[in-house]
Amino acid sequence: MIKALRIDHRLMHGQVAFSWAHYLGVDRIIIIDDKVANDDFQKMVLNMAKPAGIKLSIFSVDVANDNMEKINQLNDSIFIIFGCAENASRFILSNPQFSELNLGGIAKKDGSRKYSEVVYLTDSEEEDLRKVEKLGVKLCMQQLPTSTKENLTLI
Amino acid sequence: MGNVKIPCIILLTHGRWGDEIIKSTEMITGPMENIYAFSLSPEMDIKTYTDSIKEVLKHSEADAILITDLYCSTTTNVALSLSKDFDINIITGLNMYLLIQIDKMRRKYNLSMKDELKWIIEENRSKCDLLYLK
Repeated sequence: MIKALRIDHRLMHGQVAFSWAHYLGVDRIIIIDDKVANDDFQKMVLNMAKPAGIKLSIFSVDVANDNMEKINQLNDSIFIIFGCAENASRFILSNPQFSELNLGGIAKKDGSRKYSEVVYLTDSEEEDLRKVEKLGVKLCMQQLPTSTKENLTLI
Repeated sequence: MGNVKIPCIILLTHGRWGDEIIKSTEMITGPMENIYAFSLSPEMDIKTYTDSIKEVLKHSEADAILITDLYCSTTTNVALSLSKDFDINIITGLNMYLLIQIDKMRRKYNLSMKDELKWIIEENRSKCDLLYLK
C-alpha cells in the first residue's frame, strides 16, 4: 500500500531514510525520477545509501505508470519520492488515486519564488503543481514528521 | 627537502559540526593541516555543495579522505557521486577517535591508503562501546 508521496530534490537522504521511513513504517521506498532512472551511477549510489531493512526501487515516470497495477498489489508499505515537481505532476495525473502530496524540498533556482525555507518554485513548477491541486490532491509542506504541516494552495 | 603535501581530509556534515570537530580534535592533536569541513545547510542546493568540494579535490585529489557524518544521507550521497570523477576514499560515521587516527596515519603510511583506512575503521569499531567499571 502506498503510504505517502513526497517531492524531495535530495531524494533519499537522512530525513527520508530515517525519520519518515520510521514514522510511516515503510518496507519499500520507490524513487520516481526520470533523470536518476537513466543514470546507472546514481542508481548505484542510492542503492549503497539505502537504510538496512528497506527495499528500494527506482523508476522513470513512464515505467512507474506501466507498473502501477503491480505496485498497488504489493504487500509492502510504500513511500514514493519524486525528485522534481514535473515528474510528480505527470505521475499523479496518470494515476488519480492520491489525496496528498508533500513538498519536502525543492531547490532554489533562477526565477523561483520562496514558499518555505526549503521549497522554492518556478513558474513552470507552480503550473505543474496547480494541475495536481486541481485534481483534488492536497498540497502540503512538511520537512519532518515533527515539523508543522503547512498547507499550500496555488489555485 | 621537498614540501610533500599530506593527503587532505574533507569532512561532510549536516550543519557546522565538521568545523567544530576539527577545533575539538585540535585540542588533542595540535593544529591539523590540509583539512576541510563542508557544512550542509537545509536550504543549500546539492550542486553548490558538491562544486565547493570539487574545488578542493581539483588541487588535492591524491589519496584524499572524505569522512561523512551519516550513511543514507545527502552528505554520503554527495561523497559517492564525487567518486565518479575523483579517485577518493570515503568513510561514513565521523567521530573524534577516527579523525585522530586518520590524521596520525596520513603523516606517515606504509600500506596503501585503502588498507590503512580499513585497519583504522576495524580498530574504531571497538571504540564505540558500552563501558563498565569492574
